[in-house]
Amino acid sequence: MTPVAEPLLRLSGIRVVFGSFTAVDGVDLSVAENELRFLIGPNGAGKTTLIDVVTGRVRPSGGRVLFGGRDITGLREHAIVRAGIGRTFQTATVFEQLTVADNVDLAACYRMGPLRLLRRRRGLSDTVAAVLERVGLLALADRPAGVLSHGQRQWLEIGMLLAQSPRLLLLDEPVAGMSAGERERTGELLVEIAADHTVVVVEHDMDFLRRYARDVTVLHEGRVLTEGTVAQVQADERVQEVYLGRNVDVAAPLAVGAEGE
Amino acid sequence: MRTVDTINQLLAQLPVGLSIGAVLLLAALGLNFTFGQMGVINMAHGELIMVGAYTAFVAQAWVGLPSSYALLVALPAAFAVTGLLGLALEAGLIRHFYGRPLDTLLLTFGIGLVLQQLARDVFGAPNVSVPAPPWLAGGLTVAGMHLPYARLFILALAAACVAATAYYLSRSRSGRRMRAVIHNRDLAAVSGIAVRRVDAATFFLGSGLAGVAGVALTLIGPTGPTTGTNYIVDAFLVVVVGGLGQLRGTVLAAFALGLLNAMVEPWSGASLAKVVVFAAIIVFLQLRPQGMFTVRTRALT
Amino acid sequence: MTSTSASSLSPAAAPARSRAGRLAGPAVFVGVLAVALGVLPAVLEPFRLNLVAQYLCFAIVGLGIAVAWGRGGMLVLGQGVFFGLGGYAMGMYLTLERVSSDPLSGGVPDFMSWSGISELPLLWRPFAHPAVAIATAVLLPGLVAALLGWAVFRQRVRGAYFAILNQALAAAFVILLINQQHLTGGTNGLTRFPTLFGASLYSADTKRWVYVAVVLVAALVYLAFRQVVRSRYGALLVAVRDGEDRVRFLGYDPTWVKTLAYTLSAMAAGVGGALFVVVMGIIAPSSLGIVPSLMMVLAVAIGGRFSLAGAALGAVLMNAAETAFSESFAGGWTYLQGALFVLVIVFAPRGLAGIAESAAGWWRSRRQPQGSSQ
Repeated sequence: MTPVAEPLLRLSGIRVVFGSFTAVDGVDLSVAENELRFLIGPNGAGKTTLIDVVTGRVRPSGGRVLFGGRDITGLREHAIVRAGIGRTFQTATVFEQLTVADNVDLAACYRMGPLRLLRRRRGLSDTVAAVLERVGLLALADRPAGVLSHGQRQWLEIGMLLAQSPRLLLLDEPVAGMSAGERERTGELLVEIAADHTVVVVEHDMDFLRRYARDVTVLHEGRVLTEGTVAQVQADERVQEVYLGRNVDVAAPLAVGAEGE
Repeated sequence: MRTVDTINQLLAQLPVGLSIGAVLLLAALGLNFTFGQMGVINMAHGELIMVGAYTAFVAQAWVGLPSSYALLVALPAAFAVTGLLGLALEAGLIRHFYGRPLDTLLLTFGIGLVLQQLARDVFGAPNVSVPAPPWLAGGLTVAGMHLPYARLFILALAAACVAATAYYLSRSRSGRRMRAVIHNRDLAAVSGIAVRRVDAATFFLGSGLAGVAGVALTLIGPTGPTTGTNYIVDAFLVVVVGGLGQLRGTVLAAFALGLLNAMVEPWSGASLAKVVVFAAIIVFLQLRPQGMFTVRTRALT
Repeated sequence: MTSTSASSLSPAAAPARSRAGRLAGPAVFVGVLAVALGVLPAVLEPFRLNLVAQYLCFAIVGLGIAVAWGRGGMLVLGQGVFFGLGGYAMGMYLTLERVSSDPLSGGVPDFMSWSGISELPLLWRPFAHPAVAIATAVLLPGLVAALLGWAVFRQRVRGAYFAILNQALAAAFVILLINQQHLTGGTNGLTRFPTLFGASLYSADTKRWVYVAVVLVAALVYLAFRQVVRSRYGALLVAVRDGEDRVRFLGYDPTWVKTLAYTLSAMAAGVGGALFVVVMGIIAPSSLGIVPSLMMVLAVAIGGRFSLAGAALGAVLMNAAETAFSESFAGGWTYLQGALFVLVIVFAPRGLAGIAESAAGWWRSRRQPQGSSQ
């Protein structure tokens, strides 16, 4: 699990405290270039918070985020996007009043200066058309995003991410609430994207994980419980305990165990 | 020598600042409920203050109560009148607009216009004055500072209202329910709290406090249809600076703005004071955009 | 200055329309412009024509509000400030034009002589040049809005807070104007302008030319803002309105997006104010405070905040209604205004333009039962 080269993303000692609640408690995590990494863990494990830290939505109380060797801790959200990190959200948030094409187009144009932005969009740019094709929404390009189904919104969000061609993609529960067919389609999309991108996926869905994951990091109560391939992680007793839900009994010993990592 | 003079000058403004602060506090205290806790920008709050002031006028000029105790009758009466008005407003209109603060602003401004015109039609456009009780005439002189009893009374009234509000929110059952609803509406609803009743109660209290503020205003100036308009924006600024729904923030901000107003005025003249205060608020928001006190939560707004 | 739904609503409404539908908007625009320039000056007496010019000044302000509020979600409740900055800048020029042609004035406006000022203050001197006055009327409101907007948007102060700050600014501005009587003319404001660029402002001929200028400026502002809302920036502005935090994760800084829209709306208000002074011959604090600023917003709410044409039309209608009603029954007019606030928010949050839009949609769906658009 330790990459040889300098990892693309490196978190060291990340801590996040909300009032008296410690959401993330000293997480170290490295993601290498071109890796497809799954981040799993029960509710409240700190997965989304960790993504929030990387993307600047939450400022950590301690620790550092290095991206391509550069310290990006505490940068503002849009600066982090410009550094090359893109994300999606648990509940897909797209701009419902804008068309599908406008959504993707805005995502693609984020490096334009104000003067160029004051011009009109004429038709679809090649990038936007290619992205819409890839996520299967080309036929809906001129429809308002508000009419899309839940699954289509997730794909639109992934499309917006692709249009920005980031070096690192963070997907927060991309298949939550999707039908079986939509999951399948999303999984294929994920595999396609992972072929030429570095991707971190937060996911609850164990089925989805088994089918598409390569490397997995398990979080529990704000700490890294274990890391490894799908098989290794599945065989880990502590992971089974965490997921079997005997939380009350095992919480304390697990915390100690995690500390011993 | 110059600095000593300046300090003395500023000290002389202290009572003025405190009494401006007390008036602002009374006006803002009600907003702490309706704006701070429920997110409703009730522009008609100013007109509720005006209604409270006219209640004091009616108690003397129409009902004929002697000025010696009319004030003490007017306070609870104004609380009830404006509280019920607020209740009607909430039930009739505002409850349909929770979560849309800017719409409530325009809506309640319209209602404020109507109330102002009603006041003009009923009481006439010229200002009326309400005689203060004889026992509030005169004042104290402490360390060379003159403190009129009327101003001290307003200060005491503000303190009493703050204490009552704090007690209500932290100790009483309905106050705790109110906080529960504010904290997490859905959770409160499934926990068996009658959310609608709590909303109504919050609005009743907030509006009632406007009435109390209105009665207090009759002690320091004449009452007219636009009495409330002169205070409403300053009162909202108090809540902005203090932090949404933060009682201690409201208290601190009210006195901070009151003192700042009083200190700047002799130095720059009345015309620049407002501009300076405005600039100070913008600078303050650079440091603390959410106001003095905020609850740090996971949810980013 | 009206058009059909074309220019107005969400960009989403656009694509499904036919070629004829696409041309309907520009056709209406050209038609309205032709009537405004060709017919009205011929049929209306100068007094009426002047009133129309006055309404159009507020229409320009309304166009700015539609951009900042309708598209950008910023409830701009202090437009009176920017209107006033534009108005006073132009009013200062007009005052100096009078003073310079009046040998008895002693070189200063009369309200200054009353305060014992015998030499023109430094602040006033540049406004003897019309170019300075006009540039100030347009740029100063923009500059103030840009600074204020940048300061508050950067710190993510928004929504209700922003609206209240705008009101506070309007309140402070009016108090400043009233109390600096020796510089501003106090409550009376600036008034009595006999000439503009040497031409008598009392002559019907000049009034007609002023009217034509106002129409042209309004048309220009409309076209410029139409480009703004239809550009990528226009889409970005809507995106910021509906999900400011989400936009950050697209790599944009909402601070400049919002500041620009706010600045444009302030400049429009400044232009409206500068023209208003010429048309009405007066600018005074009573038309700039919290309440007048809210009335400018009300007009846009009634016309339709999401539509440029609707906003402009709303401003014209509301000001026409004010002329018609306010003198005959002042009290009744206030009740009506109050009621309109409530009615438009409760029943027609998209205003007249929204109603027209729904009606047009209903009409189309009747004609094409299948809704076949492609």
